Amino acid sequence: MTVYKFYREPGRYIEAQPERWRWEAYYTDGSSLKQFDDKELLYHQFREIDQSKLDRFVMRHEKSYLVPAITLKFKPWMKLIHYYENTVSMSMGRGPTRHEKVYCFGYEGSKGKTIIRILPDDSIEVTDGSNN
Amino acid sequence: MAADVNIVESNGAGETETDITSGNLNMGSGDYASITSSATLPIAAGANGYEKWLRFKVEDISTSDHIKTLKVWMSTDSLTGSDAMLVYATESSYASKAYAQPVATDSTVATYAIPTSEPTGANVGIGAGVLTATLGDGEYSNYIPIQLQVAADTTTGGSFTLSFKYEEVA
Repeated sequence: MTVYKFYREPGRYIEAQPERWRWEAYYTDGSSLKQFDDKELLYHQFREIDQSKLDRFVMRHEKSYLVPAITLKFKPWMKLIHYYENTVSMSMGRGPTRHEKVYCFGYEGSKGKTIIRILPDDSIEVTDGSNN
Repeated sequence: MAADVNIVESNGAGETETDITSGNLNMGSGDYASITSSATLPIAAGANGYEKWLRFKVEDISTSDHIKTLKVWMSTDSLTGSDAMLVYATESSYASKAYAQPVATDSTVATYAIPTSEPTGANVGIGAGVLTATLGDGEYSNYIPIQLQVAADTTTGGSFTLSFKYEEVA
């Protein structure tokens, strides 16, 4: 399995495990930054994205040959958003703990947020970010 | 690897901490984490279970940047009779609570009816009781005290699920 290095501090790295969905940022000058950089084998954090020159934000499935990518065409008035929603459900008398991860991305503008939620079965919801 | 965030329970006067993420939330008539089954330490009709003092703990932030927007709610409610699940978690006028040894008398801290659907915003605080603050490596949320108050009209077989949700910025 490919190992991606993440440098939290200079000279020391930890190994990042690939995500089912990973982001790719494409800039107006033709360059790009990928969460999982296949050339340098580096992991990049979301905060490294330079939103001042962002053109497209793409969410790509690890099996990109099976699942179409999702592209957000970025505009200068947008503030880009990306996070994971993690839910741990624990019970009394209802079986073992369940974990669920939802991949969320979108933008915030003057009229509020638009969040695209990629659910565990890879179906998609578009919300205002409140989940209610 | 994504961040490793656990649910931990504190027990006893000296505050023994247990990671219960892979365990359960069985309530009982004793101050213990991950009680094997509800039959082990049954709660009599008309009595209370011992409080549970829970927290989110970032065991390892790994490649992520921070954790935020902490929520707790009861996602399935199959309690019987007039049984009540009480909590201290609120989206407004939140204040952090200092740990106290769990009791089975009526909780003076877990006094809110637990939400039965996902709250709109965070209802568990961080640091000095700030709902919008963030957690980093090795850090804890504020305590989430909960207590099951079993009614006189309860019947056997009640169950529930609590959901603990957080946002992870990676």
